[in-house]
Amino acid sequence: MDVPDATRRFYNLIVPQAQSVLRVARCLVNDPAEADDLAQETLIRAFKAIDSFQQGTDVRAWVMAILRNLRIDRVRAAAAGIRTVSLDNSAVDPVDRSVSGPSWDHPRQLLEHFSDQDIISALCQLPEDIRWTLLLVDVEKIDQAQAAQVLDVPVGTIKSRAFRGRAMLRQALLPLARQRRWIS
Amino acid sequence: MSQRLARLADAPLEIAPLLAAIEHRLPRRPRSLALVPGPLLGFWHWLTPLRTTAVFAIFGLALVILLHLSSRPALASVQMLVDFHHHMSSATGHCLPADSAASANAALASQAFDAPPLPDFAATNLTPTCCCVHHQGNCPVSCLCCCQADGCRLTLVVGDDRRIRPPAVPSRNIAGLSCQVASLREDNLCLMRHGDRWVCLIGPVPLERLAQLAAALRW
Repeated sequence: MDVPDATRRFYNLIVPQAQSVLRVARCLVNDPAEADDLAQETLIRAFKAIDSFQQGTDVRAWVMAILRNLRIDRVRAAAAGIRTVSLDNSAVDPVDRSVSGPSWDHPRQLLEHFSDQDIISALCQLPEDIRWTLLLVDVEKIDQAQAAQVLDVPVGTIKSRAFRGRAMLRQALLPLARQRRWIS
Repeated sequence: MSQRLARLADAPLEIAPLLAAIEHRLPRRPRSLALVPGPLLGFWHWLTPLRTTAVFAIFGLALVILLHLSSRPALASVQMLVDFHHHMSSATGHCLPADSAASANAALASQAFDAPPLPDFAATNLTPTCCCVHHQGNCPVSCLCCCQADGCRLTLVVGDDRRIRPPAVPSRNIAGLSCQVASLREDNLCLMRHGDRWVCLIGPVPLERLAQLAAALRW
């Protein structure tokens, strides 16, 4: 019995991206159950829209765009009481002049000490737009131009957000490093 | 930071529960898709006698090249050695505790029977912390993490020259000691040979200090 083309395309192209979808969803949403639900709906939407996927384009970026749109839909639908922090209301100020003192003398060595959960927890402190940028560009290794299409912003904005985001992430990890006496 | 973030993607996630939760809303996964990717299903229609011959010839050539390459020693790179150092410094994964050269060699042998033994480093006054065997392909290298008196961590890597060649880095004469040196960001590397073994010391300390320590090793 011939396998429908949509079914074949879904299992060949979309299912291999399931890990990335789940990982990004869990970094976006604090509630694990909600994150899993977001990932599930993304895959369902991807299946329903599989015929619109153009062969030869980046399937991961395509699926991330679906995840992004679904996330936006849910945020709008639950507009009251959402915990997402906008870019203008960030919890971490990258120009926090009250933070002075030790620098990251051996940044790579220091970063290796943080567990994945530490990094994810720090990521969750960042504004969602910044978090999206770092997840797409640094974690999922999506090309900046394609990340710009996913997030519907200019490439320059992706570059500046990535730069700011990494600095904000360092800022968010600094208290933890101090608390653990890794730096003075 | 971007490199550290990229490592988040290395941790595998279990997606079976995710797929199980939505399977009732998706078409059943056909058995024919379990192993064979979609595009290859049409492979058999593409084959003709001439193309079949060409395909086998190419595979045969690739096999010959692979066999030839597999008999040559592997090659360690500066990046690889620095990565070993960072792994050892963070003491994750399969590192075993070690408090002397003898205990370290015993631990290394338990991980890999063909792990090259470490030299005696008592004269260096370094304090060993942990050790493990890393592999480049199927070639083992022995790694030992040590601490200086100031707490700075160094890594000592030993390889068998017949199985894995050290990186081809420039030679220098440092305080009368001939050694090969390299640097990668904040880490320096100092490499010396002894017979069919090579030893590399890696860490965020001056090359002169590494050369001095390498010269104090006893084989």
